[in-house]
Amino acid sequence: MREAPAPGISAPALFADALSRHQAALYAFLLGFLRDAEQARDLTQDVYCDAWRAVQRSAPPFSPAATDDDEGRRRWLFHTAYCRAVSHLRHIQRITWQSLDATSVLQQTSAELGQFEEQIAEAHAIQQALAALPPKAVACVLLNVVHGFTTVEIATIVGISHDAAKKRLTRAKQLLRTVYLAQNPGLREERR
Amino acid sequence: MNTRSDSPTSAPRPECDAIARQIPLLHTGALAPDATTAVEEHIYTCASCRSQRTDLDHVETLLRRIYSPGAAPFQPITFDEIQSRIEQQPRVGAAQYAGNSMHLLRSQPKNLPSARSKRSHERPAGRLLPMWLPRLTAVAAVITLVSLFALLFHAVAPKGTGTWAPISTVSPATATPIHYLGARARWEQSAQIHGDPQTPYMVYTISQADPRVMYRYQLVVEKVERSNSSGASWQTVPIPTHDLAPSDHPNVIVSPSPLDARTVVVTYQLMPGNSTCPKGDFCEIQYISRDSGDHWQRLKLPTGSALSVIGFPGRSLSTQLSGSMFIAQGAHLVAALRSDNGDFSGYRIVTSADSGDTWVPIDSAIVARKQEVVECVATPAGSSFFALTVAAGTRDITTTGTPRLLWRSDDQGKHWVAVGTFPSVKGSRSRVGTASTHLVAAALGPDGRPLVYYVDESETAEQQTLPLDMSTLAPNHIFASRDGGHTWTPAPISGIAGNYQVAAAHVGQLADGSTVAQVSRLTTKQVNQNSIAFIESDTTYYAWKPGDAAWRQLTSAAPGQSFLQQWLTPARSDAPETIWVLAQQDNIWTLQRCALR
Repeated sequence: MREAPAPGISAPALFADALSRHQAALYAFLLGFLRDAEQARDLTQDVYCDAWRAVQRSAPPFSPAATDDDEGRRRWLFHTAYCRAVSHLRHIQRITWQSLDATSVLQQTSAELGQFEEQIAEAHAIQQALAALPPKAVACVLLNVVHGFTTVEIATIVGISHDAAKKRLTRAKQLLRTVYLAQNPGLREERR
Repeated sequence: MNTRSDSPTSAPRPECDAIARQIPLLHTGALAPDATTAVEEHIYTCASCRSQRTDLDHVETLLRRIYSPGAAPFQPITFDEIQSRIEQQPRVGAAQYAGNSMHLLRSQPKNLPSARSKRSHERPAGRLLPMWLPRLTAVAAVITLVSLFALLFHAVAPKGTGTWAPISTVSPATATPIHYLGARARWEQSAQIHGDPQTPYMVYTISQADPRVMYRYQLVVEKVERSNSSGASWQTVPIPTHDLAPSDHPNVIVSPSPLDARTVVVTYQLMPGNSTCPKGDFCEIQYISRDSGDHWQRLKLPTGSALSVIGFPGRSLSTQLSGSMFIAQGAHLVAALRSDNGDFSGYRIVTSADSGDTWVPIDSAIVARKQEVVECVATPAGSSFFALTVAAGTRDITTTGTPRLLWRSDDQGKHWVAVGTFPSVKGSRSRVGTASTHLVAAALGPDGRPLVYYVDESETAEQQTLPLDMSTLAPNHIFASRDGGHTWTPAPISGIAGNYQVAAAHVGQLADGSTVAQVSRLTTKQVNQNSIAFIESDTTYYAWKPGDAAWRQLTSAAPGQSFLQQWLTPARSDAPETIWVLAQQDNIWTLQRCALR
């Protein structure tokens, strides 16, 4: 549970609060989406640039009327991040999903999981499975599984209908499971 | 790792299909409480669905471990960084033109006065690469001779011995060697640019058909200017806005035709959330004018598609930054057509024989083989194409992943032959995410055979011993093939002094088929304990083609401390091949030109 800022707080203070509380999550989302640490950090900065401009205009969700709408600000930040990431992908189109940074992140993350080869292999397999999904499906999965957004919120963030969000999330998860199991066939055997 | 506690998976039941579709939506807020209960009860009694649920739980657990906030190292962003970034962005959306150096510009260390002259390693994203505009040159007058000789060769060539029909043509370069001025070629100022073109960021583009014609525009401001006097004076071009909603502020990209200076295409890139495109999604709207921008009409393309403003997507960084949309081959325009539906559904090679009025795909033979084009080059004269492809549906074209096939056509795309796997090098340092080897150009060589060039942007062991920053290459990282891509020869190091490096791998190509590179002297300077700045100076242009033992100098050192954009324009009846640069010297920006012969 996140702690909302106190009512009556000024717009710049709302921005500072949003900056401190949500930047790590935004970065994590963009890193999973783009799989490029450098671009993820770049776009996270861009999102907060957009937020600051909204603050200067006192536009929602940084308007005085939305002081206590922390969830709204969080959704707004993720929506902006999603739009920026999609725009970025559209331009570069067939870019790599295997930057050196992403690889090092995987290694470091895996190392933190316990230095076990099995975990490294699993992490690699899940990353490969995620790479097999269309980018918009990746966004839906990350928003739901990692960041805890409901399908209604995902629909708002991604800019699609609720039904479309449900369908996209369902298919994305099913495909992710299928691809992961195909890459990691021993998983079921181990469970038996 | 999750473990299962009961019996092995049993056979699915009739209702399992419906339940399986709902399992991914459990606890996402998408299912009503009673539906959730029904699914849970079914899972409790059905081993098959329980297995699916367990698999999915396992996958989701892994995802959370890897992609949760804090799982990856992250240096927190400060308010100062945001402010600094805003100061460098003229407007919202300014940085969204990926493939343009805007995002690189904004990452430039503020303490370095020159964009190109100094670079720092203080920030990971703190590099600035130049705007390069490699344009293909044309020798249209030889087309008849080329075709005639091709027919002759075809008649006498042994049949059935090769995988592709060899082009055998002779360009005039064989009979009449072209003499270039070399170091005697001097620079002269063409125009002074008022203000700093980097603030706000101004893109210049020059007409390959007539270098006196230039356009300039800001990416996010719907204002385009044209000069008919090589930049000496400018006038506003009225561009169409009637299809745009007033609230939309699209990026604007201007692309003059390399065949006709009066023909120009303007592209509006609308960002998600706009009021013009279907569902407010990203889309591009393109117009063409045949009278220097006085009148416009929508480009006639299949619904939901657009010509790629950066040309073919997988090209080298230098080529992408050029922003060139078209390749010229004879009287044909060549471009990359992409779907505008948001999916990554590949590119098509399209050509137009009527200066852009209508476009037809020429890669059907490739598509039929379930391949998708990611890069393409064409000889300005003749009819040869070279294309790189990946398997249809492939999204990953990294050097560590997907193999790329090289294809060749010698009849303007009517027939294609797969030459083989394209060289790949591990360890891309380009940081733009593309593979490290890229086609950059094709040209007819002195013997009339097509030459094809590629550049290797990877970081290699020998490069690490040289004073290289992120954007420069050793001269021998440019490769060429004279046999249609079967074998490749690296460019030599000789001819270029040891402390000079290639700053732009392919500025353009000469009439004799040589590739032209921008070369700068690179030195390092210790800025502080943790940072080294790379300083470029004595920027000169060199040329090389397969068969040459060394690079040959094309120009004297260009005036200026940094160079924002550069072009090579082909010879015309009233002007020889000329290199143009947008240069900065003592905070004054000028357009400089250097006639090569």
